Amino acid sequence: MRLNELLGHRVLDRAGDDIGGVADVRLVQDGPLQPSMQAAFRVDGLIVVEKHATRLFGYERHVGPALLRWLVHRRLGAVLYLPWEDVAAVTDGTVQARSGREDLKPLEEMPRY
Amino acid sequence: MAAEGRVLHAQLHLLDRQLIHERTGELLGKVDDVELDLDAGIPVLTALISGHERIPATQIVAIDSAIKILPGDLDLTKGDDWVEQHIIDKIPGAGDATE
Amino acid sequence: MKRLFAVTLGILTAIGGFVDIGDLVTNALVGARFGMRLAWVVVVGVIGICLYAEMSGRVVAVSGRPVFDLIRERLGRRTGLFALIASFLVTLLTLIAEIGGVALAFELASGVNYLLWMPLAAFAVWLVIWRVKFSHLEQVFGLLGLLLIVFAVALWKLGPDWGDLVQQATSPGPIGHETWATYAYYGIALFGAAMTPYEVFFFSSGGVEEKWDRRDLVTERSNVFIGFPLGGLLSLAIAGCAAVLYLPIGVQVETLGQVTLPAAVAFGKLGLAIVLLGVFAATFGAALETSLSCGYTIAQYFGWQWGKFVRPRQASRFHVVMIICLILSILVLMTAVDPVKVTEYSVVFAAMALPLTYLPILIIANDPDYMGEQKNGRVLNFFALVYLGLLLLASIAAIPLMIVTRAGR
Repeated sequence: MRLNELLGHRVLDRAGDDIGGVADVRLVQDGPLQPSMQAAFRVDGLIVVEKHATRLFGYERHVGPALLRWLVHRRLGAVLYLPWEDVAAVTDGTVQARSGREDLKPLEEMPRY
Repeated sequence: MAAEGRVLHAQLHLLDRQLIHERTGELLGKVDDVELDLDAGIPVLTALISGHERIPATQIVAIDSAIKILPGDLDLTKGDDWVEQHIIDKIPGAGDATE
Repeated sequence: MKRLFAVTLGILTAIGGFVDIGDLVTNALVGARFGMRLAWVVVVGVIGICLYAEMSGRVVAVSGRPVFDLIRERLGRRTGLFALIASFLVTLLTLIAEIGGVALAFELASGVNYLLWMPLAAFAVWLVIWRVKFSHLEQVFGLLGLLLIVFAVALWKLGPDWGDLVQQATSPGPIGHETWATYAYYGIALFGAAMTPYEVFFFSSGGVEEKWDRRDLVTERSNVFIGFPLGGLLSLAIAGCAAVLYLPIGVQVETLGQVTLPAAVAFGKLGLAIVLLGVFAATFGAALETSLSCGYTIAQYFGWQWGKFVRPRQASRFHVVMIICLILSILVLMTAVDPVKVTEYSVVFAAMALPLTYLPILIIANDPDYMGEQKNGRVLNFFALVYLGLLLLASIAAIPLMIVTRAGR
């Protein structure tokens, strides 16, 4: 699947409630070894944004001037992390989660590197 | 997962980034899209898309402030070559270094 | 001398921003109508461009990525395209005006109509871009442009009442039959000129042309902190001359000839010769800066090979963009449109382009992935945010003020 298609998919929790949109995909370089002897980038999970799932400008990672961060976060609402294990299905325009909204961690608790 | 690998955000770190030839430093376009295989046992990043060309993940050498790739057989400079042949090469001095 | 050569990129960039053809006239016009009562805007503008040019230069030295590369990367394809169109139009309109400006300088020197000089001027600009090394180009036109310092010397020679000038500078606001609206309109025009977007495109791309890396941070900073204040000084000197010569007798400045007159009054024919050479160098330098910036922005948005550090055939689309822009300039000027008036309309696009240009620079300059230890400190961020607010304010106010004052009339 293409990233541009996945971005903006609505995310539904276990109960079928809309909890936000896909804003980014977190990749971790610990996948299967490629012929080039580098590990592949594994899809670790989805970054879900409550309100406007557009560009985050990198602000989901809490860097930059505090005032800009505050403005961006106010516009985005909660920024949540949906681990790939909790994704039940990706269909036309929606991502079905296995977990409930309350089970999702805020993205800021994830290690950045 | 045993070893902790490097963490990247696909949109933030890959989309719209500059592609560079790993050997020559030539500028080869932007990443227009990223291809993910979500149906595999372990879902992974499989390729970067630039224009109509698909750059397999195995040809990515480094991901930094730009993405260094080995283009191999890929033709990423089609547009530049066309303009070169039809216009620029017809002007005297096109192949000379500046003074 | 070697030190001076090291900061010519900053000087040339600043000349293109502060004393290009549109601003030469605007500065003198403002001096003639308001005296030094808008001088504070130039100072505010110099500080702003120093802040952001330094950030863009630092990003280039650390990461090798020029400004438009970052705009596309952080704003994405769509918003990035909007920023590209707006800033490209600002740059192109300025280029058109500069080609006209070079031709006007020749007209003043020769008496032959500028329309005849204009194709020659465009061809000369292209030839320099095609054949001359980047470092030579910035040295020649940066240093020759400094001849405009003759305005500062002329101001001193004219022997003004300095107390009066200081008094004007410290009492902002319109005088006589001028309104607050025209005062604000010219304030925004001066601020916009100081922070015009192609300055950071040119400066950061110039850093790549000069192959800056982390070791060049000192060079980068001296370019910023010498170049831009010098540009501001030239701009103030021109306004000062007009304030002394034209304000008391109520003469309106409309032509380039009136701009150069103070130097002739102070130093006779020699002064006029120096000032004409300076005007030629400044407008020619600005033409180089804007035509290269047209190429830089488009090529960097699409990721094409660009730059004068490779042979023209290796960056063919980059060169073709500049050739097309120069041909367009000739075609527009052939309609006999007043080159000085062309820049007035660029204010509209500048209003759209300004925040979109400077926001990504601020974001990246704060990103530890890019900058590591060289990222912005808190004090710098505070001032950068204040300026982002000012830019936004100027953007919103520019177009309504332009309509209300009928472009300052």
